[in-house]
Amino acid sequence: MILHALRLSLMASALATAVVAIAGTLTGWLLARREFRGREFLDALLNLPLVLPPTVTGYYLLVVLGRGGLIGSPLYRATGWSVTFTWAACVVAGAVMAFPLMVRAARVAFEETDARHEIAAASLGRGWLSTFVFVSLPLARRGLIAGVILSFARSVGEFGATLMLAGNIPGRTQTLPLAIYDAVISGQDRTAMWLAVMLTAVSVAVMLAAGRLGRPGSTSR
Amino acid sequence: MTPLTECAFATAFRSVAIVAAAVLAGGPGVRAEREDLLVSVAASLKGAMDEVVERYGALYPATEVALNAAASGVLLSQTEHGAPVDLFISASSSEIDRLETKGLVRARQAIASGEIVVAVPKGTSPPGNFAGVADARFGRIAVGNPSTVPVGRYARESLQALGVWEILEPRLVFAADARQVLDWIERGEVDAGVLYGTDALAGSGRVVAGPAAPAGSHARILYEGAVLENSAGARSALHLLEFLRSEAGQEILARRGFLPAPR
Repeated sequence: MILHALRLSLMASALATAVVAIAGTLTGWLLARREFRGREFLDALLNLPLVLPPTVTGYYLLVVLGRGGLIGSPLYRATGWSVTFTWAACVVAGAVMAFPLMVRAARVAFEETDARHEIAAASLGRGWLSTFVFVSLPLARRGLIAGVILSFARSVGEFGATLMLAGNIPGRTQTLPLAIYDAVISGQDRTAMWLAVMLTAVSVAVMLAAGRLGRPGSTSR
Repeated sequence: MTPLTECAFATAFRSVAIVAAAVLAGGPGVRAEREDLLVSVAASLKGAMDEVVERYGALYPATEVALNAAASGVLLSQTEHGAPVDLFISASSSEIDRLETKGLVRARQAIASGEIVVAVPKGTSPPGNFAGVADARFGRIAVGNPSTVPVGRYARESLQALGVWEILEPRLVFAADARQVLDWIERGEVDAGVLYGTDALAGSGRVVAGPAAPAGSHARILYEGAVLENSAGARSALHLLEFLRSEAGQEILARRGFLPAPR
């Protein structure tokens, strides 16, 4: 059960981070480089999960993605599958909670790079995608890497929204933070302690590794 | 592409591939003739239910019971929004009432009742009776927040009925949940507290449990189980619920301080 919780935590967080890294980078770039109506409103909306208590975010997810929900209901009727109480719910909850962090980091990273590089690339015949991949991304990479690290960290520690959407089912949807909660409410203080130490160790290891990756000059240029 | 981005992309791609492969490999396996039951259980009953499930599994190995433990309110939300739960075991009747008005309950039964007691830190002595918590030697007293926490609601109700709530009020500290009351007493942050008999028992050795609130001074504390309408394994769920009410089930609950279910 404990190994399962550890594996699920790492896998769900990795998957959530992968999704968030792509979607968050694009959204951040959009917010930094494009003027459009409702831009600041969109930004505020995307930041909601940072402000709301995670349980409330989880409640919204349940309302939208549950079997009777706006998205959940047609999905369930079409496929007979619902995200609630599945491992995918851990990914969704982690991704939603981490998304604003990635967007924020990406937006700042792109805003701090000079837009004229992109214009120059475009004027030399590069297409939009090519400019984005070969000019914008490399210029903003340090901020982007920081965003990815924050996102992973946030989703490893995710508790409130995950509890709501994924449930707390040992061996199925129970991540490491949920396993700690489960041990506490079951009165297994010793297990809770060991799990907490384990989560701390994993977090420190990830942060150390990530810190190395994000440091300037540590990789060749 | 700079070496860094190239390397970062390759690493990212590789980790996604590894994760995807692992997920596919670890997906739901072939189901034998076993039946899966998912039971949502209130946090206060989790320890007892672990034991019940173990016993039940030994007797009826064809049923695989998985527990989903959280605060009753969270479980209620999940169930209302279509989580695939077979059996819901709540720390109070109100959640089951609400599910019933929504037509989500197939069958419901009380599995245990409870009581609230006064408890004091180890090394001090509890009052002679429940209302004795008003004694001046208890300078700070912990109760659950009556507007949000059931254990606080019961405490207020009882202390009001006994006519000592007003005297006590300036000395009360409100806790966020029943476990926090126990925690504060254990650490000696308060001189006394009102909590469930089960929590006082769980903390025995670190706190001293005193007298219980007199019967009838507060609404009945009832733990109820409900087989849900959209359960795929309703028969097995009902069987497990009956097991909880059986002698074997009641014996496990009694050992953890729960009182018998009303017949």
